[in-house]
Amino acid sequence: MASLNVLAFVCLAYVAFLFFIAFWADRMASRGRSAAWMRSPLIYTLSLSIYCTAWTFYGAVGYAARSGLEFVTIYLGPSLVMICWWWGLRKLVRIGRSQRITSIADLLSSRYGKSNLLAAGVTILAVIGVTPYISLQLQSVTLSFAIFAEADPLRGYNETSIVFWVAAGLAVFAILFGTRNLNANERHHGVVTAVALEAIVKLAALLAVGIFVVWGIAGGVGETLARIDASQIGQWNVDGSRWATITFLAAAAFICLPRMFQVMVVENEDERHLRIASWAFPLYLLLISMFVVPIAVVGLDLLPAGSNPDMFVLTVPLQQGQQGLAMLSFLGGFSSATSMVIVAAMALSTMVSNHIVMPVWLRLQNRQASVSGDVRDVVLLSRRVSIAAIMALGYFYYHLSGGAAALAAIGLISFAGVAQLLPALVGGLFWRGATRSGALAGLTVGFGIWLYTMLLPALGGGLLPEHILRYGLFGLSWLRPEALFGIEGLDPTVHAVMWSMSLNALVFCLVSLMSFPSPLERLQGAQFVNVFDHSAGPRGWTGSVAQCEDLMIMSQRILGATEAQAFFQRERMRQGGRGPLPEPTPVFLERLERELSASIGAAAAHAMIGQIAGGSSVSVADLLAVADETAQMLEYSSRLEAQSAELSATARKLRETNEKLTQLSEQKDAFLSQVSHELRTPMTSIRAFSEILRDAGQLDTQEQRRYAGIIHDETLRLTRLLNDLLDLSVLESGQVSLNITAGTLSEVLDHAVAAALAGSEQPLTVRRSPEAEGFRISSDLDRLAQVFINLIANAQKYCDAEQPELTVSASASGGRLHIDFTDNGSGVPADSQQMIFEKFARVSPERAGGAGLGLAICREVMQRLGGDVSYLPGRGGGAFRVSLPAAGEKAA
Amino acid sequence: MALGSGEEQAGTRTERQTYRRRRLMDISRLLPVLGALLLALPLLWPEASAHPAARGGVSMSVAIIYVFAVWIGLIAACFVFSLAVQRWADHWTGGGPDGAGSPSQDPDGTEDS
Repeated sequence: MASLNVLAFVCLAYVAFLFFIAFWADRMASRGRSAAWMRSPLIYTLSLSIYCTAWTFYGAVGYAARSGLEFVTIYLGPSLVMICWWWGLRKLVRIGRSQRITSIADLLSSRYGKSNLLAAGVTILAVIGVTPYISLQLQSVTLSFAIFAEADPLRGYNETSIVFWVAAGLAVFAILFGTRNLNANERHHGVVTAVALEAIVKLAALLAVGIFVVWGIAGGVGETLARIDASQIGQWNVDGSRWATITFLAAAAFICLPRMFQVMVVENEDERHLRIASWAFPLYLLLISMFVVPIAVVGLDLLPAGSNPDMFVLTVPLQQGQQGLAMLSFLGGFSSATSMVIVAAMALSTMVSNHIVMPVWLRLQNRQASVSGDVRDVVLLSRRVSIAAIMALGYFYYHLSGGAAALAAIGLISFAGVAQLLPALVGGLFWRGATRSGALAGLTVGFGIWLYTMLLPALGGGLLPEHILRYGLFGLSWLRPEALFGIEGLDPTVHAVMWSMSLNALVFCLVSLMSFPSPLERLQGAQFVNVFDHSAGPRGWTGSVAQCEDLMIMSQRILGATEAQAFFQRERMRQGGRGPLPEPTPVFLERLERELSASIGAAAAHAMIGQIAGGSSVSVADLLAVADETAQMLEYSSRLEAQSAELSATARKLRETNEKLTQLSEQKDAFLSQVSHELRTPMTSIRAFSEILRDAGQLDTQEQRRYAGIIHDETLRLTRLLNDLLDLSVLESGQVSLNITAGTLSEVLDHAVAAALAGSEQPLTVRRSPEAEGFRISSDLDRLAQVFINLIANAQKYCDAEQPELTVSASASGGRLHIDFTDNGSGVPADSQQMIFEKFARVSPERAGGAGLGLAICREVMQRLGGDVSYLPGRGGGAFRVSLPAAGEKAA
Repeated sequence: MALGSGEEQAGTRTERQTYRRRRLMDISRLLPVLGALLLALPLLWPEASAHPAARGGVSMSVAIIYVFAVWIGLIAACFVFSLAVQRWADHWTGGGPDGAGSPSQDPDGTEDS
């Protein structure tokens, strides 16, 4: 008989070997030159075998001994899932890789708009669901120790201390290899390699025991089959509902279990591995379960009644005196337990630290976590503490439940717990309408029902009072945990699974239909559901050098050739490598990212490096961050643009003002010179004649009178000029006050003609048509008359006809009154028509008596009166039209 | 699809590939359903009588052989399917050297069921 000492020694040696393998694989991977087989589909397939835990290893035989072939459903479910890999798992893996998913909680939270509430909920559910499973592993290891301890009576055996040390040892292993470093894609080559090795050990152990049983004890396949038929489980006696339910449950758990998600999606190296695993893993399951019934039957035959069928895999070889085989079998069970516990603890710790500890820590931390090493340390610490805490939970659960319940029952409870994630998961992958609220509601309902109908009754021990179990909550019989809604007679597992899953799915669908998703949720939904349209398969980088070259090319584009080369050179020196380029280690990538982020922003740098080095596509969060940065830049540049537009507008205005001022100044100069010229002419003659009067002593009276008359005329002219100037300036400055009165046009014209012709020596015939002049007008009649007088005087002055005639005609059109003054002279030359209304403009200075201000004043006056005066070309003579707003109808 | 000198030949090949891929997708849908049906078949077997001696039901050995035969059959079918995928549609799975050959170019195969 093997002593406990030998057993302990073998155990420790085995664990040390695993340590070595894991350490070596990690080392290889971190150097970027892991062997090809380490990334092979075989390792992937074998690592999936953590599905087969100690429950499978020991429990399946016990299960078969109790319920016949029903145990096989536990394997049929996952086999079916693997068979539809093309539609299911491939999508899951693709999403996991393209979205850089780190756990199932991360997947669900990511799908439903990065909801941390959901992630935290899933994490809690997973911890509660998986803890019994971990304690189950502890229990099975302890039981197997106990088997050997029974055979070794010399030594005292303390169950509690064994459980404790097993739990502590597993925690140390998980901490050492699960949290060695923080990898962006959360892969753990060491652990995966060790798990794959353990998978081989457990398969070999079970096959060895099976072969020994079939050919060594029973004596061949035919005899074995006969023995099976003759045994107490010799007939097909399976409850149909349990068969279907447990197959479904196993399939669901296979996808939803955190540890399965970890090895299947997170640790997946290459999507194509699924292609091999799709048949290889069902084959593995088939091999594992092939000898279960024979071992159970032979164990029932050989061992005394009442011995624990869960331990037949160990006790049958022991009973047959096969020490070596028993030891191998023990190692197989030990492997199953350890690999499951390590991966489960790792997966759970990732979830706990990412979705519970870190959010809380970041919230507590008021200052920004700007130093990246800072956060990394916290994450690693929180993961380590989480692993320890989870193992402690498993340990306490083991104590609480007393390790009494059959292995299979605990396993199923755990399965049903995590299967609650299935509706949200499947809905998230295939239905764009699935919303966060729906997922939360469905999970809550499903989890609640599972807790009430499955976990609490199974825990017993006063957690659920006896009267509730018997009479229902609040004494309502339809709320009995094992007969909800009065449906009795169902198997408790079937009952709980049916209600929890169906209500979970129903609530999930209903709430999803009724709620409205956030934009991020809808975006993520589209990305998840149509992942095959959005993501090209990750590029297969054959070697690290190619990858580094790409990084180099990219950095050259961003940093500039010289700087990028210098940076790469520095990094190569730092790594002490001999190649032309540095190895793309995480440290190097981090530094490169920092370097690049200085140029293009952190988010863009992260996305670009991720594109090349991580092989995963850019996540929505990255895109949003890039968009944020871009938006900031856009905002800044648009602000600049606005400012520059404002500046140029101001400059234009300034230029315009300047031009106007220059123009005004020129006008002023011209005006001043005009005025001084106009003033100088009369002043010169006044001076000259006054000098004559003063100096010439003997002027006769007539001459004196004539000279004085000239001086008087010139003074008059000066006065008139000054009056006109004053008038014009008053009119132009708008300070003129108009005296609006009502009257008829004919009256004004009468007055004007009379005033203009009075005392004039030049004859001018004025033709009028009084019947057309009866318009009633309301205006400043004096000013209007002034305009008319001016026009008539102009005709008088400038009309060069022999018999000067002026025709005055009035008409109304379009609400305006037009009065035309047309003479029979030669009119204004075409080139002068534009300027006759300007100040001091005179067409023929030689004939002018005025200063050339008359028409300018007329136009100013008419514009003040709301009308205008303009020259009408082509009327056969000088023709001016005065227009003014019509005041009313023609007077009778 | 770049059609070179052997345009017609290439066209036929493309057509053939597309056809194969579609049938592959059919298989991928069919297999799990078939598997589930076959594995649910034992539920229709007659119930064993309470006494094992009275040979009313199906004996355990038959049940084992049936279940494992179906299982092996499914594994074999899946094996063949994986070979076919490798032959006809491997570029749809990520990680290939032409992994960038995005499935959107072959909309016939990637439509959701």
